Amino acid sequence: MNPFIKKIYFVDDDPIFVFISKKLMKEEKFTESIAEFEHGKQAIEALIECDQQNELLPTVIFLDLSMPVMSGWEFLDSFQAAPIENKEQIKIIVMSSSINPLEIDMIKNYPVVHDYIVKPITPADLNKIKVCLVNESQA
Amino acid sequence: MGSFFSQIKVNESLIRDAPIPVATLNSECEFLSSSRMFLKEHGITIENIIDKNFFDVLPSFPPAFKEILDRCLLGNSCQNEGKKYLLQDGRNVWLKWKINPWTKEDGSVGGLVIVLENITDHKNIDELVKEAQEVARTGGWQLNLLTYKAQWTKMVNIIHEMPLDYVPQTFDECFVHFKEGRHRDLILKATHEAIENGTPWDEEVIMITGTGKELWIRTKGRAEFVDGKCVRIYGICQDIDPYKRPQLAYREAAEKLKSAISASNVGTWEYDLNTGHTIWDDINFELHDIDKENYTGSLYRNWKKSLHPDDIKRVHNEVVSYYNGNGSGVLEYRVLLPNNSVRNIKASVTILTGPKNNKFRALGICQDITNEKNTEIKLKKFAEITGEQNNSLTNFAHMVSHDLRSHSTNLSVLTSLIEDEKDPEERKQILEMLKSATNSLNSTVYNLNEVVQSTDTNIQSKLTQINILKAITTVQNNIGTLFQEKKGICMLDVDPDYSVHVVPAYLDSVLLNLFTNSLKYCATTRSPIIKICTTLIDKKVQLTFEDNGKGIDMAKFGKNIFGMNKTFHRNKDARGVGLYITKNQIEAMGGTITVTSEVNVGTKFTINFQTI
Repeated sequence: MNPFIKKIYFVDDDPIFVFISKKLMKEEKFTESIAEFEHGKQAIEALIECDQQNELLPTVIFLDLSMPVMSGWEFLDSFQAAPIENKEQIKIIVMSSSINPLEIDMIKNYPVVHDYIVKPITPADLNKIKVCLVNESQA
Repeated sequence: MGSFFSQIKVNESLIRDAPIPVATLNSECEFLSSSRMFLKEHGITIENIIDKNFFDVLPSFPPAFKEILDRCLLGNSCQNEGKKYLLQDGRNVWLKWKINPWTKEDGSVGGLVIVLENITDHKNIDELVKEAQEVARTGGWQLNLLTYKAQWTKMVNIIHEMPLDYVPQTFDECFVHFKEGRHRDLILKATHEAIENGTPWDEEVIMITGTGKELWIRTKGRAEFVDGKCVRIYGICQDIDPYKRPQLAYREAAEKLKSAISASNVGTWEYDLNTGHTIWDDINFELHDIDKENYTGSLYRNWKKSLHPDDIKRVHNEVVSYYNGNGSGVLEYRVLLPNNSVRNIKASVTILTGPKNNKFRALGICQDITNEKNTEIKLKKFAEITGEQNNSLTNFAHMVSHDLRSHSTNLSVLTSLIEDEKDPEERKQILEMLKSATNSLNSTVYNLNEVVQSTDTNIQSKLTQINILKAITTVQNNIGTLFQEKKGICMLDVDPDYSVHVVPAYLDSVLLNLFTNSLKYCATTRSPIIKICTTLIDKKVQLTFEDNGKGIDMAKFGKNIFGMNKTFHRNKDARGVGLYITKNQIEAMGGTITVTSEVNVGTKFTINFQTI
């Protein structure tokens, strides 16, 4: 059975975390393809490129917060401002090791963020996203 | 008969000029004659009253008076020193008279000789005086020094609560009524002075009344001299108890208040809004550092002049605002003292409003609150420091949790992966990652340690003199491999004689961090060149550490460059926490560090060290 999700973005600068997360997604057959980015700038540029070339946009973006060059916060700001068609269909999942309540509060100020995951990603986290997407497509 | 009438005729002219109000009547009460004074006394304007009836001439006389005339016509003499009659129109009239019947030759009563005075005015005044005495509770007394007999008015006895007919029998008895001790001595002395030298007295003393009560009286006395010898002393005695006691109580309260005020160092003042008249107490002068004996111009002006220049405008605005009905009337300002120190004053103002809602007087108090103010400032500073420390601690805790969590997460996931992994290639890769994650955890823990140590407060004892050139070359050698790997060059322009006052481990840590940063963030297109220079500025060593690396976008990151606010990054990017530690260490040693940088040109750190 082919995965339900065609394409996701994974934005994190920690290679170890990227490695273990990819391994999990492969086992869970979460997505057909994963595009990796080390920081927000790469990711936002790829999104705009995608949109201009009329390529398939990612269904989900997993986003780390603390990254060099362009942090997750800056990515969110750019994303909100970027002229990307149908971007509201993209689900952004913020990932962080932080359990800082201030950070969680700040995330709530971004309506584009679909959910917040405390690292590491678990099969249950992935399942929850999948169920949500299936429900939406049937509705 | 003839002789009688001729006699009357003669008498008539005699009577006319008599210096008393006198008239003669016949048995029918018709006037035979009258003195001019009689006419004047009773306001008679009828030209000729002879042969006219008494009551026709004096129609306003009380009819009751007729009974007296009638009785006298029966041959009785009659005398009265003053009798009050109520007239029909409601007025009172006081009459004083002396009436004798005169007899004809045959012995029968021929008529009356009347001396009649209208003493209404005198009597009214007398009554007024009596009433006044009662109202004023003032009595009169006199002491005849020839007979040693005393006399005093009833009021004196009322005041003394003695029987109304009481009169002291001896000279000494006059004085037993004064309270023994200070009061009696005072009066004895005053009396003596009056008798000897004629000095009058006016004193307020306590006397003991007939019922044993203490009573404040005012006693006034003066002496009368005849041939240089005092014959009489006389004066008044007034009951002043009802107002003397409240006055004393008030004086006592005021005295208490005054000592309370001077003890609490509160200055008081009053300002008349209409006349500008100002009253200050001594403490107020002191508080504002104005010489009470030696100032010119109005006090208001002097007060304004005493204010700290920075406060004048604000205080003026607050005063005006309060006058217009806003604000609490409490203001704080500073007084500039001659030695340039500052005294903090807290002033409270009240504006008194008259019955027509007109403001007429402002009064207030001033208090020295310098100590309180200084304590407050100190407290605020402490609170700020505590707040900052608390903030950075919270930040620190979150960062620790973040960083440790990210490593431990990776470690635990990797270990569980390696258990299940069969593929030897994959296993090898996971092992590599385990190693790298362990290293990262190790370096994070090391960094945390540094942070904790750099905030150590007991640093002064660890400071020693270190040769700066030696320290630099040692660190440079320690990271020789990194230099080779990056093909880095280091140019030193450091005076070999310069020493700095530092904690050796901190200096090593600072230099190491700067070196590794420069090499790590070198530009990709050119080899890293590091220039280190030292100069003496104000006898203190300044070190500049300059590279040609990637540089930092100062506009974007400048303010956070040494901060811990941005989470310090877990793996290769340990720059955030590194600089935070560097800054902490330098400041702990009493130095400073600043940075300038340009993207793609390089970064330059300037460090000022403490020297002895």
